[in-house]
Amino acid sequence: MPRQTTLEITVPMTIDVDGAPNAYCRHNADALDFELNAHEGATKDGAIVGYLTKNDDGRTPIVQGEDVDGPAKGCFISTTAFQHPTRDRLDTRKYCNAAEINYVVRAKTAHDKGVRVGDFVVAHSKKHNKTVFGVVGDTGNSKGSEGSLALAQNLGYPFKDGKNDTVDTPDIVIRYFANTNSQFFDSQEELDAAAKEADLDTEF
Amino acid sequence: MKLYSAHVLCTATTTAVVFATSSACASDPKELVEDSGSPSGQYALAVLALDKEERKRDEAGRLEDQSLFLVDMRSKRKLVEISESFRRPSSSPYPRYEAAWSVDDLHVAAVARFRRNSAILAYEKEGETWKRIALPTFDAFDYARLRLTAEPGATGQSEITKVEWKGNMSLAVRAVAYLKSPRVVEMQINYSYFRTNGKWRLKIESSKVESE
Repeated sequence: MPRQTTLEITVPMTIDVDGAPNAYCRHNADALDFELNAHEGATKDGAIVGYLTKNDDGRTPIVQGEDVDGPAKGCFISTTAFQHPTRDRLDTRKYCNAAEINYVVRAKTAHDKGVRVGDFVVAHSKKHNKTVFGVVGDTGNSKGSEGSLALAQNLGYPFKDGKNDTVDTPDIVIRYFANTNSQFFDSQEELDAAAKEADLDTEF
Repeated sequence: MKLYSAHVLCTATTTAVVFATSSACASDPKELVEDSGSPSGQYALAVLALDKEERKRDEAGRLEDQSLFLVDMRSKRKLVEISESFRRPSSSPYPRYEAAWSVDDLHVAAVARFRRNSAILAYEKEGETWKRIALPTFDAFDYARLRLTAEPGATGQSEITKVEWKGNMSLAVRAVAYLKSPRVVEMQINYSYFRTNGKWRLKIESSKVESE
């Protein structure tokens, strides 16, 4: 008998691109989100809190290919709450890559029920009748109505980035499974294999 | 969740909270903010299209063509734009808006949720005029970061999760700051704005840290 869900919610979804090496870049055309969205208040005057800055000054980006190595030259280092336990904080692979990994942003109701960052989720699109495995990869949206770009794409949405696309209607069903995972995954294939082993309830 | 029926603001030709063009309306399209109506139903917050001459490009080059307005529901009139900093491109999901009214219809707090934080602005009615309340600024993320100095890194975000008027003299707010450090750390902060001697002040009521 499959493991029963800790909590199930149905939500619309805004797109989170955090953790992708090209989430925020010097040039918006190269990036998955507008650089302004990394600032408080979405203005240049607001402190940068969406990617790493030199001496944590909130002003001066650490740039891949200039200040540190990285796969996306000219882009910055975007972070997620779920992180690789031992990799350096300047290594883009420390963070959960929104362009590769299905992840959700943890809802407060899930937090209250003991769901931890890294735990497995099962997500389902009612519209596209697709079901995928994922993890709790980030925090910051108490309603839980936010998920990675990869999650939206794998649920059937033809989204290219996090700039404008959203799922406006409550189409996404998220099942949380508390205390099921703390392992960090570099690929969705690894995640899928481990989630399958956990025998999660995927029937909708 | 309460959604206002379309006929309240303009002639409805679409469903839900999106409004089609009507000659009775100042500008279109229109969208009432969820739960934004005042207790009497006389006022509401609404997302309205900006007049063409007011539209400007933001720093990313996007055309900001909508903003948040306080609306008189009886005459379908825009009363005041909440803030130019709450403007957004219609193509963008941010900012999103919420509202909290005092029970007497005379005070409203408008909350804008940006990608990384929330901002709050409040108005009170004096006679027939809505006047902006000078609330002290408060940055929940910065507050948490300064108090959790053991956490390396300075990325994260914050959001306002609850706003409630306590009579006319106090506005209670709850915010959560999320720090993306090697440990997952969240700080819930309860604070209030209160009026004393005619001036609005800020008081931190309590805070709670959770980590894993």
